[in-house]
Parts: sequence; C-alpha cells; structure tokens
Amino acid sequence: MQTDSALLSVRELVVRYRVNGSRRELLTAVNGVSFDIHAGSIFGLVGESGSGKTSLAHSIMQLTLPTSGEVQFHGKNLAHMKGSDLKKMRRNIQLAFQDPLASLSPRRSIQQSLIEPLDHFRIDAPEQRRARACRALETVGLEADVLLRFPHELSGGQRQRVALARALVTEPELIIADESVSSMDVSVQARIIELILNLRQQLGIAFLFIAHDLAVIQQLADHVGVMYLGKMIEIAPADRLFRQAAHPYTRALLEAVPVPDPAHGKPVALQGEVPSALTPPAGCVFHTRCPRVEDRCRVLDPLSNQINESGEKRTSHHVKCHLWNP
Amino acid sequence: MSDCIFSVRNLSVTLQTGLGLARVVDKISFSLQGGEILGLVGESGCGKSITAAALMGLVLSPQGLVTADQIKLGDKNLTQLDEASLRRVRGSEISMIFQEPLTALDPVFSVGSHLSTVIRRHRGENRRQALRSSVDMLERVGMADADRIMQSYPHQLSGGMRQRVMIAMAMACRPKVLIADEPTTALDVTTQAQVLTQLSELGQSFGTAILLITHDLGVVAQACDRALIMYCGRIVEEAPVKALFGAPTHPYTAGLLAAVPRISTGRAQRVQAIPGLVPHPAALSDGCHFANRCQRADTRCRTLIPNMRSVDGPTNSHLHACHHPLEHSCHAD
Repeated sequence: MQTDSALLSVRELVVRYRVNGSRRELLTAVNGVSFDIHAGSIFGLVGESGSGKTSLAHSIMQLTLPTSGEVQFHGKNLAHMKGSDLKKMRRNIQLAFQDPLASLSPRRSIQQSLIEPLDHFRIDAPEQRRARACRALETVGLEADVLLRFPHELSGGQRQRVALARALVTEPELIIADESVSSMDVSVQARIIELILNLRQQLGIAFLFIAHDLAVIQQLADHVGVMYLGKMIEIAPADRLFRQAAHPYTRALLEAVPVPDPAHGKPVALQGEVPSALTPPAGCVFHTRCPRVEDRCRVLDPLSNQINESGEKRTSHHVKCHLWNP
Repeated sequence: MSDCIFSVRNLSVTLQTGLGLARVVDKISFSLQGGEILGLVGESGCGKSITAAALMGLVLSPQGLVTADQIKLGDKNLTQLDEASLRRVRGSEISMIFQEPLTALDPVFSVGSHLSTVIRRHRGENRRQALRSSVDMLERVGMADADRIMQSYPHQLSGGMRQRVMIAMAMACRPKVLIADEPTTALDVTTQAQVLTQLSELGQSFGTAILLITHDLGVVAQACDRALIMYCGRIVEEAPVKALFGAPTHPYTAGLLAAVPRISTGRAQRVQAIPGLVPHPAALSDGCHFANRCQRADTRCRTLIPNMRSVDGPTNSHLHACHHPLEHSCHAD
C-alpha cells in the first residue's frame, strides 16, 4: 500500500440516506468505495444514473457526511477536521457542480460569483480580486465582458466554463468535476476536454472527473473507476480498462456506447433495468442483469480482486466479480 | 422517390426573439419513405426542435410564423388543413415523442389512462377494447409486466420505462410518420440501446417513417438510414449514413465528426474542437452561416448562400450546400 503518496485517498466509504425521514428505511447510495487520486492525475468515475457518483463526490467534500469510512487528503482524515482546517481543505478541493444554472446564483453577476470564494478564503487584497477573477475566466477561454453578465445570459457551454473558473479561482490541488461536459454539444465538449487537459498540464491540478460517457472518460482519465448501485466494481489504469475490461458490467457499458461509424454493428443492449437502491439484490449487485451469472453470484458478494501482476498500487487492476475469483 | 409518404418543401419558421425577428428555420426540404429512419442532426439552437414543432403544427402565431410550400403527409397537405382536421391527423397519422417523458406525460393520469385515451379518440374503440390494445402496445415495446404498468403513474416508472410508454402512445395508432425529438438523450447508454432497438423494430413492422432528432452522431450511425445535418436553421448536408460518416463533404459535418470522442482499445484519439461559436439566430450574416468558423471560407461564402447540390450525380442521395466542399475520391466520378 502506497497510500501515503496519494493526494486523495478514499477508504471503505459508505453514504446512507434516510428515506422519507424514517429511521428504518435507509438508502445506501455509496457502499464501501475505496480509491486513490494522485497529484496531477485525472481519475474518471463512470456509472449510470443512480449509481452513487454524485453522492460520492459530495461526501468527499464533506457536504454530505459519510456514514462510515475515511476520506484522506494529504494523509489527513477530513472527518476529523474542524473550523479553519476544514476551511483550508475546502480551498484545496473544489467542486464544479453538475448543473451550473442551479449552482450559480441567478441574482449575481458572474463577477460576484467568482469573487465570493476569494472573499470567503481571504485570497488577495480586496481590490486585486477582480483581476484574479478575470484571469480565471481567461484560463477557461472566456472574455472579460462575461464578468458583468448573469448566468441566464450565457449559453450552456459558457456556464459550464464559469463553473470551472469558479472552482479554479482558489487555485485548488483537486477539482471534482461532476458531469461537466455531459449536456454539451460535441464541439463545445471538445473544447472543455482540451481545457481540462491544459489545466492538468500547466497548473498540475488533479481531477475527479465524473461522467456517464465512457468515450469522454477515455479522452481524459489516467485511471477509471466504474460504479454500479453504490459499489466500485472495477478500477484500472485507463489504457488497461479500455483494452481489457474485466467486469461483465464494464464490458456491457462499453458495448452499449453507440459508435459513430455505420459499419460497426448495432450496440448490444443489456437486458433489464437497474434495481432500486432501496432493495439492492443479494450477492453481487449486478447479478440480476449479468449475462454470465452463476449460482454463487446470487448469494455471495464478490470481493475486490487484483487481476494483474503489477506490484504498484497506481497501476493495479481491481475487479469485484466471481469470474475472477481464483 | 417511389413510396414517399412525407414530404416537406421550403419550410421556414420565424420567431420573435429578444434581439428582433429571427429566421430559425430557413427553407428546409426533405422527404421520408415508409419504414425508414431519417436523422436530423445539429447542435443546440440550430433549429431541430422548432422544425419538429412546426411540422406538428405546434408553433403558434403571433410568436412564431411558419411558412411552407408544402408539408405533404400521404395525400394531405398539412399546410392547408384547419385546426380541427389537424387534430384528427396528429396522434393518428403523425405523432411525436419528446425528449423528457416526465414533462410530456401528465402526472395525475395513469399509464393506462394515457394510452387508452389516444386509442379511443383515434381508433374509435370502446373502453374495454382500448384497454386491451393498450396492454398489447406496452408488450410490443418490451414491457414484461404490462398489467402492472397500466396502473402505474409516470413518477413511479424509471426514465427508460417512461420513454417506452411514450413510444407505445405515439405508435398506438400506427402513424405514417413519427417525429422523435431526442428520445434517448435523457437515458443511460444501456437503456438507450434498448429503446433505440425497440423504436426501429416498431417502425419497421408498422411501416412508419421516423424522423429522429438527435445531437449524438453515434445514435445516427447506429439507428438511421439517412441523415440531415442542420446548422443555423439550414440543412447543410444530406446523405445516407454510410456516405455521411465515410465521406462527409461539408466542412461543418467533418468538424462535427472530428469532435466526437470515440472509444478505442489503443490510445485515445484526441477530439478536435470547431473554432468559434454558433451565432445568435437574430444576428446571422449573409451568405453561408458557417463561413466565419470555416477554414475554407472566402468572400463568396460570406456573400452568397450556397444552394443544395448533388454530390453523387443523378442518384441525388448525397447533397450539400457548400461553395468549397471537401473532395473524396469515391465521389470523384
């Protein structure tokens, strides 16, 4: 274990929500997830809607408090942080929310929204903050005249860039980008992908990049984690995952992506629907839809297995599936 | 075109916007044959959805003005029908699926009530027959548990199931034409694959022509027979999918294709962005609207609107509107 070298390390994280205020009925959104993000690297997190991606992001930020498990940033447990320590940490981990129209205040100009974190963290002298906000906009490829506009006056792609600029403005070490390109047209999406790669290269910012589109993840990520019903069912270096995905769900996900080439066969549809997170299936969570289900899958929850020879944690390939059980 | 069942000639839509009048759809023409799927592709704001609304007669004056030389469905010219006759045609001969099924379905009515209303109104069946036909339609779109679904309300269903209910409703009267506006955009990829398959199977077996509006070129490649590429209210290229992906001739089409991320088993090929931004529809320039983002543009492009021309000669299946199209050897003759 080389967890000490990781920028962010998440261990056995569990997030449960009460349903309808009842104490009995609990929904497990994130169920025992562990992974590391190294400085300056991009971790791609993929999964269908309801798989727990956003809950995971929010609990890393301690916006939703984890039910159990640990989140360590630079080796320090975030759950034990209070007051000024927590504030300092939040400056270094920034979240670009999924829907900028909902996360940017409609009554504030972009300038006000960008300066607010600077006021909050007391970065720079007050009169220099506007210039810093301006630089952040420039970094994401927007003109300074955007500063005086309001969120509703911008296009979806511009708003998404403002959300990234707002995350950037405090000069964090890690940005959690929650579906930052998902609702965009491809030509705009291509530009945000370029931007994220530049930010990583020039400023050394690490990213937790959440998306449901594997093709976008391949453009960006060094490592990929695949979630299904709250569990991380596969983690691998990106090149390995796209070359030899091990989990039947990851393979199904890869096959379902429509290929922009008519010569390619029709995508193979996975049967059935994602089960409710309130009543997850016993055994392996994927067994209700798995094409290679066996008897033990229905009763026994598979453990996480390393399936490559790599001794280094950074390059190891882990999968939660009985097929790979020795 | 032999069995053309839907043909649109010079459809234009003008809307009142904050910046003045904007021609958001500019003289577009196309036709559909029974059983085929035609893709209508473009980025947000290029006029795809407003085209769909105009075809269904849902753009109302005085906010919007629709003009067309012809919108011909079978032997009816929709531009000449009054509202009462249009209402009989909508839902029975031409129907529509919307992007967000949760807003398109009424939250206070059950699925069974949604479906049987359409069937009773247009097919004139009595209550009991209509309920039976509804269950039958739900089974046809792959709902195993149709009887339970009939009693359910939209909020009790998953996104994929809601969209299947929409498809069942839209196809219940075996329409000649179905307009599907981004039917799978709100769905996960695994559900998207299921829904697209069902849509194309139903279209085939009912002989329904489908106009599939999407921004996803992957969906076009997998589901469509032909496609139209739309930019700023105009159609810039029309082609069978094989030619469109293999030999795009309009620089905008080529730009879009280069911007699509593709999964590869080796190193990821970097996507390329198209420089510049889509102009506001009320502030369009003369000539080709793509000219200020196009590397091949010259003064002619900035002053003269390019007409649709055939790329493949008399076959007339691959057309583009460009003064300086990309050359491909397979179209050289």
